[in-house]
Amino acid sequence: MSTCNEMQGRLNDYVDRTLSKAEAQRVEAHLESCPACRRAEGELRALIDAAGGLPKALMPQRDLWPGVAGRIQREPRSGTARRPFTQTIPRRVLPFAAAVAVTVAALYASAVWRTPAYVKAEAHYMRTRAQLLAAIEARGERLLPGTLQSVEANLRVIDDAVQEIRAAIQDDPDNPRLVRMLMATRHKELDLLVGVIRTPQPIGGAP
Amino acid sequence: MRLRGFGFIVALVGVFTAGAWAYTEVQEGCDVAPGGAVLIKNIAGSINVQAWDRDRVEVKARLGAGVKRLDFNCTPRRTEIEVVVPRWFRRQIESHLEVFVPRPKDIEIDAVSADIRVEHVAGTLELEAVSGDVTVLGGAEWINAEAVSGDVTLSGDAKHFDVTATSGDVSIAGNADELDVETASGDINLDGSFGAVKLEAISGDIEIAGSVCDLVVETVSGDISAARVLKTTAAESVSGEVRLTGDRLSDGDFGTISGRIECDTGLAEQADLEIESVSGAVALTLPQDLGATFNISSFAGSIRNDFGPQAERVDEHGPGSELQFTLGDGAGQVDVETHSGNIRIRSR
Amino acid sequence: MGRRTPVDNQPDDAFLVARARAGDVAAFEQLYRQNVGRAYALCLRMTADAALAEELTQEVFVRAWQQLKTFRGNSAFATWLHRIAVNVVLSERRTRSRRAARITPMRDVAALDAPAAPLSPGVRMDIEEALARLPEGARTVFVLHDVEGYRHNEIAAMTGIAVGTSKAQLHRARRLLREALR
Repeated sequence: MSTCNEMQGRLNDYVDRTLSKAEAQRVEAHLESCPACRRAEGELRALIDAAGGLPKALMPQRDLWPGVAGRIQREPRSGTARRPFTQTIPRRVLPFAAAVAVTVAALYASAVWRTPAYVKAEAHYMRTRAQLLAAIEARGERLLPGTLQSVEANLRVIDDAVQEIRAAIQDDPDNPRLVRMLMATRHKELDLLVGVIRTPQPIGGAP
Repeated sequence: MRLRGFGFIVALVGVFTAGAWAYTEVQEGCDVAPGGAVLIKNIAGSINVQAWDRDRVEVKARLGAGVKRLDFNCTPRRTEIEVVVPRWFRRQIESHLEVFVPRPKDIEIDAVSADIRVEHVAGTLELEAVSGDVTVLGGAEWINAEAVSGDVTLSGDAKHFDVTATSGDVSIAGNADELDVETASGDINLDGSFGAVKLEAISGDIEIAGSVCDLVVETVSGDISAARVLKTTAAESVSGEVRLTGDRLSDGDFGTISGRIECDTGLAEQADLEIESVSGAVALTLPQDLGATFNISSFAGSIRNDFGPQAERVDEHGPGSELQFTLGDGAGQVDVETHSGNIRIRSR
Repeated sequence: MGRRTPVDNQPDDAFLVARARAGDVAAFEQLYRQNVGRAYALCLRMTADAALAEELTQEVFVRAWQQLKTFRGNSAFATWLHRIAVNVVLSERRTRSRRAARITPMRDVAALDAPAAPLSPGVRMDIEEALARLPEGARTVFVLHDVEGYRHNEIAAMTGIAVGTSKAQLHRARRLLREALR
């Protein structure tokens, strides 16, 4: 039979659900017969709920961006040195991609990844991807030979991966880890496409 | 002090006396102060830079037919060398430059289809080629190399290597505090002893012989193989295979969708090891005398454990099996989760 | 792919991150605007010092910019940034304590660790105030565990204390808070 003193120590672990089944049952048995400890448990739960419910974001008194901007302009990251032969991302492509990103973000924010809206978000991604790919193809003969095939091959790998993850989500719909992996894989895709568009290509024809 | 005029006259004389030869030989040079930089631009052909003991920069150029001139501008701390070709000239006119510089110089080279080679220069090297190869021998202080379809080969020691290649392969042999390499379809090969390493390839394979202290490595379809990681690692591939041997990892993070993960490592006190996969198999080998809490689960894959406790079904009627157990003081944390990939935990 | 960190409902603007990684400062500013509130909240609660929290929040974003290349999209950008924030606060604390140790004379350690004097009776403190009054060690663990949702072994790894110590500090923080909030 546990005493209240022992309980004080155990209560935290009980509420955090890190006790074994047997130990948790012992605590529950004690709580059933001890109003003082029940009160303590109630207070503890209320505290933890309050803590978890605190606003996740608080705004600073002043805008800190100018300070940040000043420091990052002074310290360019390596790899952003001048590129004399770089072609920049075609302007007409960017708004589409940005629009998709915003839509997808908004849909994910409402945790609707289990609903048809999630399927809609995926459709938006596919459309942006098609647009970025079209932009790459339009630069066709200015790309290095093999770049386009290589990009398409890797997009297929990513596509297969996405199909796999989606099938897994159907099997195991309550698993947030799988949605994270899906997002990460989509990230790689965008990185891939943006990377190709920014890669310097030879001027004056392919070598 | 501009010596352009002089160089041009030599070239002109060369053309007239040599008749219809393809190349004109030009030589330029000037005395320089210690430190400072040498900037070299050549569209096609080759650029060879070698360190020497003199306080002087000299260039011997073989200019292809059609080259307008070799620009050579020299101030004590900055030397600019450029092969100037007519804008409208579509053919690649090849010129070959041999440049001699004092050792502690910074070098900046822009090439398109010229190969770049730098030997034994000790400053900061910023080398860019599109289809030329980039080769560095004898290390440097800081090397920043970019090639699109050319290969990048660096040997020697440096504080920091930063390499971006697209379809070219990257090979680095030497020692460095920091290393950052990105390729798309090129392979990455490292051999030596490295501190903080970040590697990214898309379809290229990544192979690391030698040792790395902290490794972050990622591919889409390429395979990853690391012989010895000392402290921390994050390794990820969508469909490639990840094979990694660790010393005493304090932090390990592995992920794949359909690839395979094989990790053989010791763990530091209170280490945190996490492995995630969808359909890829996971084989984890750990030392017998480990202190860690294990949390292993798979929705549809099998779980085999050499350390004793066996997996149980989560629910009698549904899918999923999981295995939770503790070894030693349970201070470390080992989490492995797959959807359908089989999990095998082995003891050394 | 990657570690299980506290569930984060903030949307992840994948395209912004890709642009920022490629060097686009305007894109990074958007990420700043989306995330500054969370970063500042963490810094403020952990330091209980608004001016210091502002300074550290700036540092968080500068570091995030410098380390963008290592962000692989396997967690929400906000989560990754959050980790950076925790590291920034903890390393500032380590630097500060090294400097302070050289200057301040030996003091009664127990006195340092005691909770602040209670408010006049009848006045109920709100939880944020009570939090700010906790001793530093307990406050750190409470913020990381109960407010931000990290696990004990993650807290141990980030702060360098033992897992057992993390649990003890948490239990202590909860006890002190319950007493202060009665």
